[in-house]
Amino acid sequence: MMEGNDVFLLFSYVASAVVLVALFVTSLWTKKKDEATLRKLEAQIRDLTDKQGKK
Amino acid sequence: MRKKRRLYLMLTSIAVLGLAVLLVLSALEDSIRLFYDPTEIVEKGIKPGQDFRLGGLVATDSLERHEIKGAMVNKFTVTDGNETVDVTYVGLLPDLFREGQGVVAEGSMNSAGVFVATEVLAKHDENYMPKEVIDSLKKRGEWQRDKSAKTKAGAS
Amino acid sequence: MHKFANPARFMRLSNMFLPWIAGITVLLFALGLYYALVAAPEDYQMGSTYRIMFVHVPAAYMAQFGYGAIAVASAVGFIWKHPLADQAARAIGPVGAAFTALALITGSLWGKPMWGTYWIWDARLTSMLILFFVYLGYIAVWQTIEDHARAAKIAAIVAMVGLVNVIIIKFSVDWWNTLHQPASLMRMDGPTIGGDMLAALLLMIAAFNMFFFTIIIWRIQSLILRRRIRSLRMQLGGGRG
Repeated sequence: MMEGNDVFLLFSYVASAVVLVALFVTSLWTKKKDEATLRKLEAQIRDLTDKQGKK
Repeated sequence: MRKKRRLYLMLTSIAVLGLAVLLVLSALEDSIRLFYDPTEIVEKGIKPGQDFRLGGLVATDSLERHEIKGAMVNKFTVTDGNETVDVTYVGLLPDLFREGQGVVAEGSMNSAGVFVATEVLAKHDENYMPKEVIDSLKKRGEWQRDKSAKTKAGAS
Repeated sequence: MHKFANPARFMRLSNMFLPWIAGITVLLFALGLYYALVAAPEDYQMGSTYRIMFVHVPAAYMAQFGYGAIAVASAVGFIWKHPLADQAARAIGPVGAAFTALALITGSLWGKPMWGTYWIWDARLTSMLILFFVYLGYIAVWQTIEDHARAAKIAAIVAMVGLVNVIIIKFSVDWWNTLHQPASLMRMDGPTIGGDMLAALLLMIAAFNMFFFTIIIWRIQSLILRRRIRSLRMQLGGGRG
């Protein structure tokens, strides 16, 4: 049963869910992206030192 | 030693800043307050027509509602336990508006000494209680505060 | 040596604790939402609408908790030059701003049906809005100043100045007359809310708090990774040149 004021209750919980999910997704996604970038760079450096070792 | 100096620097700056803010806030006391209570209004003798906010409790058994040409005219008294101010307001009152409850009204005094409100806001207190508890208290006659405004409005 | 060892140890420890903290967060939210929406009875005056408090109060609490944490971390970073402390303070900035915005939004959604207005310039609401702008200023300092040490120093000063406002938020409802009601939970004579209502509120606050820790850990990890990425890029650039 929806009463007049339940709209405000619903909106406040929806707003909370949106903010929490946004914080969760951006934080996790940024961390994963940074991890991937670091791994790529470390691989590059390894390649570089291998080549220098062969010379 | 440098650590200690930085610590003292930080503590003194916070103390000085706090003091400055305190001084500013106490100077602004009059404009930061949201409303005046009836006693202050009577003491200050505010001129008719001057806009301000009035705050206090809606006096018990003071609400009268009449419908004039399709508009709701509400008359009630705001009290702070010491002085009272009569208020008229045309329009819908908020859900939480009840006798014995806090209210903040914006408007001005008319020449007859009645506060004519342009906006009425209900003030909620910090108490939360289950409906059932209040119902059982009411049954036992131990709950007096909320003499329902609705029944009176319906009767008038 | 601790300068380099500490972030590495943080990475190790945080990865170990993260699954537990995340798990507890989920559990607390499940329990908290059950209490907030089902178990807690209707309020005698506000009916069901008062349930907005179970998101509004935790959001407002986290807004202030986050700022307090920034202040403590900045002070540690400023006085003892601890690099991890600066990173922690920086990581909290945007999260605190988001919680402040949420507190303002849910507050106005609660104000409209109960008070009769979305917004009023009373001391509590205004000081909360100022907190939001202080957060934005704090974030801006980190975004615009390139040099890490300089940014940390200026950010710490901003954090300290803004701390005064957080104290004003807390006591605004006692010092001045406001439309916002006084505290129900953190008060000298005990809470003015009880039973399942109090349980719901405490569970939701705990859930928000654990959620905060979860994402702050990710954000600090991100900042540490980015410093490493920067130094590796310099190495690579130097190697080529």
